[in-house]
Amino acid sequence: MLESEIESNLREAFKENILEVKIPRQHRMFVHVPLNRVKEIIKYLKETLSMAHLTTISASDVGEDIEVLYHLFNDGVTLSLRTLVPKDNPVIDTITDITPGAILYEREIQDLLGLKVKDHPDPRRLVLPEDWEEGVFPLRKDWSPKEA
Amino acid sequence: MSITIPIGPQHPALKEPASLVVTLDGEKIVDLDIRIGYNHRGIEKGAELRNYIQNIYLTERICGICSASHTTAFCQGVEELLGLEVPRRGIYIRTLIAELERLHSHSLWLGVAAHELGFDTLWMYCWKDREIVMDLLETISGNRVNYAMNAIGGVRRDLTDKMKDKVLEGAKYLEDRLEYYRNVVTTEVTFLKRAEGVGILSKDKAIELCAVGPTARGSGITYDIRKDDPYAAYPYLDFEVISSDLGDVLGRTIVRVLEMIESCHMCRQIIEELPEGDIRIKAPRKVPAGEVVSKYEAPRGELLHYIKSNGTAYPERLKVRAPTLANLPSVIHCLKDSYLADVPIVFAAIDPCVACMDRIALLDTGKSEQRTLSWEELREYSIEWYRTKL
Repeated sequence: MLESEIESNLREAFKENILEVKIPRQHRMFVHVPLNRVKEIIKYLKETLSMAHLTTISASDVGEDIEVLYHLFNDGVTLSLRTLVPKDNPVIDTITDITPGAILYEREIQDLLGLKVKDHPDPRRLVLPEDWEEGVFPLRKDWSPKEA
Repeated sequence: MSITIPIGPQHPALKEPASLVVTLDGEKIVDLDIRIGYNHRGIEKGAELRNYIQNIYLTERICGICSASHTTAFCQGVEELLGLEVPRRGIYIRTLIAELERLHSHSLWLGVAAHELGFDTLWMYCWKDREIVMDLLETISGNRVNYAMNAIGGVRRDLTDKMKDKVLEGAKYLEDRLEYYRNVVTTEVTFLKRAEGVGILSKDKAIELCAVGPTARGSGITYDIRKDDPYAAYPYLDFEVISSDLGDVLGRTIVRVLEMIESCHMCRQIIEELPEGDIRIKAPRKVPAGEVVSKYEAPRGELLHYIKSNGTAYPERLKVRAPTLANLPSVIHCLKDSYLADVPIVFAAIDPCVACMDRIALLDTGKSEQRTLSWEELREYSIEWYRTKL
């Protein structure tokens, strides 16, 4: 399926909830959606457009918010689904019930960027040491390695 | 059931330690937990503190086996942000290194797999032949590992006619040897008894768990970035994506052996069709603001670098997802309900970059006692277990 077809399918199904679509080149697209719609859009992409493969979930500190990208793939196209999570309530829903392969990626962003994943089946730390201070997230911009 | 075990001392000689907690009922595995992170080096944070040039050297050091995979994924991402068109000769040389790297990585793997099964003759043959590839990489780059070939805008070293002849010679020799390995892994009873029907991963499960690389292709998924999302010189090369419907350790082995044969073909094609011209163009130090998803088919599978730039010479964010992390949920799934004796080979079959577990804890639900085995003890146990069983 072409990037433009995916875009029109999404716009038709989710209307104004598709906030922005960027297609920088063939095989790549970035779709910005509101936080509360992420789960149903991932479900739709998997069930209707066969985008079942999740490459990873990346997250970055963008100031007031944490920007989360779900990198999905099918048939040559990598769709990065973008959403913003406010730092004062950094909670996202787990998508492991839709995509079980997300289990470690959700644990990773929980450790490194301090996102809380609601209803995660195994919310233990993944990469940070056991004695790492609670509430300190190394990939946030306010943390620098000099402090450690 | 929840089990906690003390973390053992790390083995300083090995890369990326991980700990495995196995819950057993007799000899059957009822539960398995893998703990990683002992060697988390904070490379993504480190990348934000270094400029793009320095980051080539940093990403080269993410992994000692697939170093060119990381620098290629990184450099081609930055090139896309800069809108640079890399000279055709440069991307051909880049692709040659990529395929040589796949050859050395897969033959390393086949040797390790053979060793885990107690088939040490095959191990030594594989590693002897692997030296041909290591010599080629050294001839071209000056290094056996961390070849430092990539630059933003191309590659750093050109190929001479002498090097080209050597690659052709090496590829010819390896093709003959690989036919022999193909024969061994599909007919030799020693191998088949330990690989056939072991560590089953169905196609549906592999899709659900987002498996990648030879692990996914060994379960019948034809997902290969080189074909599905072509980069570097792959759009111009003629090659097949190898997959197997077996879904077991044997399937994953066949995929890797046949992939090596394809890699030899590709090396030959690259040399024969190597375009003339420059190998590199100059790149500016500052990168305009933007973001890019760069994908690459590393020996172990799909590799992703997500780079976000902010207009300076330093990236705002670099996210790296290496294929082993993607395959961990699959290996946990494969080992549940299988025998303890299959742990070494099933774990090895995803070709983990975290294979160096220094300790493995066993909990027997019948006797509720806990003991700790070293990887070597477990390997010996599994070879002995199969010897008495068969």
